[in-house]
Amino acid sequence: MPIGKRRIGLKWGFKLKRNSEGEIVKHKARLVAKGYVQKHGIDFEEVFATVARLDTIGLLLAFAANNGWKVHHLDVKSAFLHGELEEEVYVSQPEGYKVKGREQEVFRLSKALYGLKQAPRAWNITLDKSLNMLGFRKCLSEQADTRGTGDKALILGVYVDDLIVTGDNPEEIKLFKRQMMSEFEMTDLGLLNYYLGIEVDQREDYITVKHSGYARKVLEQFGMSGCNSTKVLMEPGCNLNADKGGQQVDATEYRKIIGCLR
Amino acid sequence: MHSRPDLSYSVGVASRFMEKPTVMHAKTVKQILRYLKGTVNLGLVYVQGGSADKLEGYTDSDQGGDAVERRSTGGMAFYLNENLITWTSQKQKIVTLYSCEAEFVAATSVAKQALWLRNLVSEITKEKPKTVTLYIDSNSAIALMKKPMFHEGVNTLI
Repeated sequence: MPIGKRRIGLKWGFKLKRNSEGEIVKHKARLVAKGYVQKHGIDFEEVFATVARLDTIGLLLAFAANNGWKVHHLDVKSAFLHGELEEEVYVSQPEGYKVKGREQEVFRLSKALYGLKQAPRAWNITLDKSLNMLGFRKCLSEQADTRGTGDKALILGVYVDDLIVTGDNPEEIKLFKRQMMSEFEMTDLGLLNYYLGIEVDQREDYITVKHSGYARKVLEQFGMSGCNSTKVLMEPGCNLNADKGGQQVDATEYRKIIGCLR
Repeated sequence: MHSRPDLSYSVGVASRFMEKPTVMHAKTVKQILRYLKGTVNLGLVYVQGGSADKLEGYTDSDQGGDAVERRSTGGMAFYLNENLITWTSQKQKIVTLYSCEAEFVAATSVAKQALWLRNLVSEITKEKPKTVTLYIDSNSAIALMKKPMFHEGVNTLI
């Protein structure tokens, strides 16, 4: 390993993936780099991740519903592993896969690993290149891309490794899916029905979005599943103030609840 | 939660006391959860609409509703045709003396959001940015926008 370069440790991450009902659908194992040791300007130059604002997803859905379009959902498998690294990055050998007798040696990465600070940006550059080749033009105001005009128009929302695509012409969407699948290993999730806790239901002439599963989970988490429901959100004229001298409650728990409701 | 505009004001108010919450605040939060329990299945409906994409923004504000700092809370909502796409409820950053000023402040932030949204819509539709209609229920704020006069009272903004 060259002098002055940092060795980055690796670690196995195990995760259960659940669907909107909370059932386990996948067992995942992923090798992650301990990117937290990386220093800006030394180990990497820039960071960036494509995160479309939820407003934009709302706009996309509203726009699709308005025009009677269907919204499709694609997911890139192990997206970050596609990112080409610009910097020299060295990692230790992963647990369980060490080369006997050469345990102290390191690997130089040519593509990114999860956990590396530059991984999201590297993936984004790779995706951008592919989308560009497929004829997409980037939107200036958001992480969205568009291609074509008239009935061939496609609109694409990018959320790291989730792609949400909609357009007038189902054939054009199919074509796009085929094109993407030849570029990356992808899962075609079909019509968008669940995304970041949002449950989407696409019907003939309308689309609904709700957070029922999430809301139930939140209620359960805070022991409110069995509470008496109310139709009143806040007492009218309830004037909350700092309540100086009032009996204090657990601030962490309070903040957690607020965080979940935001 | 991006399908529950009804929660946004109450949660926003409750979040002001995160630093030192007391029993009184915890009661409010509990009530929000109880309300959530009764409304878990509520959400938004996006319907099929006309061919023209009409963007409309609504804004309103109270006046010094925050009992601690006497700052006002403004809210806004944007519709694409019949479909609600984005909304916020936010405590304003400055203290205003009149409701007209508070409404003006809320209208300013709604105008900023409108500019962003209409650019995004225009990029998606590949049409020229269209006029966004903003609705404000304060005649004096509208008058102030059309003709920014230096009033003796209304000067905190200028």
